[in-house]
Amino acid sequence: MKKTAVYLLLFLLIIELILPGVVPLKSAYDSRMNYTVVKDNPANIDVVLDQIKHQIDSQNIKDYVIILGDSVAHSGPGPADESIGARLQEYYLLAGQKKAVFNLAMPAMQTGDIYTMILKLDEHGISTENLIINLIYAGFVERNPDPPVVFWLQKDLARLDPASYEQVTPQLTANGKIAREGPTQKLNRLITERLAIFRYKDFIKADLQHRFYELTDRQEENALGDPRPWYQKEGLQKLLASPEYQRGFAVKPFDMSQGNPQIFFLEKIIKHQQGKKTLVFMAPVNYELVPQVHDAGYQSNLQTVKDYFAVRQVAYIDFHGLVDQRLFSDHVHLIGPGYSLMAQRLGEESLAGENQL
Amino acid sequence: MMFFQTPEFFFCLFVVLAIYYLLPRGRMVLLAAVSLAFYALAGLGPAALFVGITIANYFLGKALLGPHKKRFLWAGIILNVANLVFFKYTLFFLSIAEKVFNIALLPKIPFVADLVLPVGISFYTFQFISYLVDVYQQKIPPSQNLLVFWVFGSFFPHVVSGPIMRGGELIPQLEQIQTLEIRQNIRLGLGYLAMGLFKKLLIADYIAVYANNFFAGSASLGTVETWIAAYLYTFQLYFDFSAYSEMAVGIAYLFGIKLNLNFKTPYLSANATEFWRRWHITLSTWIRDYIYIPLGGSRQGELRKYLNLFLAMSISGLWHGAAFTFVIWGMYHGLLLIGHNIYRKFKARLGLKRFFNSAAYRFLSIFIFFHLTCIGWVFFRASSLQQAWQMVHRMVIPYQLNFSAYTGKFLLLIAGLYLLHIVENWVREHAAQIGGAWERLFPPPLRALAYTAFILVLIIFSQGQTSDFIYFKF
Repeated sequence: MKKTAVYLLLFLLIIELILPGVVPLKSAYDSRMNYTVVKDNPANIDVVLDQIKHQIDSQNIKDYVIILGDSVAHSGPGPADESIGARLQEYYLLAGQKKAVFNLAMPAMQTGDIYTMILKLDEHGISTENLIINLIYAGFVERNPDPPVVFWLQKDLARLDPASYEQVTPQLTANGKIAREGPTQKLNRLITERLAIFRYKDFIKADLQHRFYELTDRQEENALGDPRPWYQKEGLQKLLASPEYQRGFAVKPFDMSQGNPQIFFLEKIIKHQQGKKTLVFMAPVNYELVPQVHDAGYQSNLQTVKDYFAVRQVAYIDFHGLVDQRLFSDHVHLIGPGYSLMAQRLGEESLAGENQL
Repeated sequence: MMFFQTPEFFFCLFVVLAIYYLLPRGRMVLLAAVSLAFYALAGLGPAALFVGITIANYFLGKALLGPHKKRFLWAGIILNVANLVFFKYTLFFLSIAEKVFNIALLPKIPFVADLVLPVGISFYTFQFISYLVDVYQQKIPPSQNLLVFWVFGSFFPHVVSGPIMRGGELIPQLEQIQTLEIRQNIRLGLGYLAMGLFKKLLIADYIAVYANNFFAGSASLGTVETWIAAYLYTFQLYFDFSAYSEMAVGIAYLFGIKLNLNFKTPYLSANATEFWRRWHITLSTWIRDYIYIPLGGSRQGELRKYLNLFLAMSISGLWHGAAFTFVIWGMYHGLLLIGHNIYRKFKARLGLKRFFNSAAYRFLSIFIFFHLTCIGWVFFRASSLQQAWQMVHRMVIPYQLNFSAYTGKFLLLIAGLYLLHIVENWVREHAAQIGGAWERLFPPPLRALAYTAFILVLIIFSQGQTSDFIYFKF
């Protein structure tokens, strides 16, 4: 029994040592972060960042763009190969550019998450020299208190920028996003964040699933939802009529002071990106499904945001009106060709070289 | 709360075991402290209550040697039952009173709605009652060591959901804790622990997802889907609870302590009497010894015996939860037991011994009784009586009867789960031979490789979120 125990410890030690080098990046990242893997455990984002850093170093990638944002930049509900990141990579290739693209956007990410992601990129030694950031109109609307200004990365923000975390703590508390960590949770975190087998378990599972699909000759579904155009879907208008959605298109003038958590974090991001290439874009909205867009108040708000970035000399594209209504998948998400169009515009703008803060 | 299947639990277990082996003299203090810390993780208030109740039972036990022993016995029973009733049933009984008398009681005593059920209260209550009764009946002497008595009540592997141990089974082991034979039990302990982890992480937690979905949408299910819901929950409950019990037994073995087994592949039972000898054994024997027999058992005629069976099982149902669904489940099993008793008499009169002893009859009996058990579990799982009745109605009276590829997949899964149950039964019966062959045929490196693969599979395929055990809420 003693011998068996010694062998067991030896095998576990070997696995612990070799695991980080053998988990394929594709299981963590394939044109965008693997949302299925990350959503249940945001700590998995660190594994994705580790793997990207490993790829950058091992392939000596010098020039790369990081995309941050929510489900629009993540390019839901369609598949990964039709996402903004994939299309932007194609655009750069066709333009003869040796730029790599890493799309780290994730559904429901708020501005506080984007800021925290930037700090995490610094922590992992991944350059933020070239960023593309996606914002949405609803992000500027007054929060009551939903949605929380940091949806996924509260713990990371508390660790990386305690002062900012403290500033937004009341907003997060009101949203029930601050859970006191008990001794068992602390111990769990200490173990699972340190031992490779726990760190990589979700990715190994995803990889095994991927291989199983390949082996059984089945198509793996990586779309996040129904990728059909909006006009082929039933019930969208009814869904959008709910107060939860309507609130996101409020036409009340935006509060552009730092009292608005959106502005608080945008200021932090702008400060962090001084001297770096940063391109911000506002996601488009489906006029047919969101008639508020025609409201003078809505348009005035869009102009206010545009002016805000202009004053701070941040390159900014507002996609409202730039995307054909038929290319929407719902009120704000697009179908493949829609994301293609956006990627092309972002590619043109990012290469124009006018976006240095 | 710290769950057995988590990495933090194993880390702590490893540390505690290391100290336990290194310092035999400090074992009792260590177990007492660790058990207190383990329980206190669920809340300091419940822990204080538990300590208080334990101390009270300890002194009551000692008082049972004195002249007023009957009074002290009743005082002990009332104390334990009152503690359980207060925390578990106050809201339930007040709600009934409100409905019966058409008065608003709850707004007048708002704290009742905020009462939190202390972890393991149902289990330690029964354990203490049986201890007091056993001391009163002079089956065991009262414990003379408060620390030993505390560990008897709070030993961390079984404090939350059993197995319910008797004083005569556990206290003597604890009294010899410094000289307990541990090494021989390690293999057994690890075996039970592995089996429990396998059942919980790779079976119960996966079935739970589907069972919950089916029950959540039960209103729109047809007959086939409703049966699938019942089958799935039947297996989820078994694999979940037996996993907890086996992990508890396995962990206790690592400390050299033997806890009683709670399950013996119960879905291979041919009737209700056999089922209760194989399902939650420590509870069913407790109900038999401390409720059914004191009520008169089978000593006062057939009718009284049936009434006692019905009452005992109804109390067992109520013990599980403060809801009518549990009471009905208990009554249903009471009726099944009565039915089996009557049928047994009828069978004896028929005299078809050869047929009744045949494999075909056994198979048919198991098939029928398994389905009767599934019907019972619908009450146990349903969120309301209305849901339970509707589901049972659809299981019994065909409604939108359709077999599709979708339902076919689930039926295949259920057949697989039943096969696993049969395999488990075979493994249990041949455990010694299998263990011997395993060690004889495979050298240590190969065995270690298999254990490594097992650990990896457990970690990789466990669900992201830690799920608690179903019986924790009881």
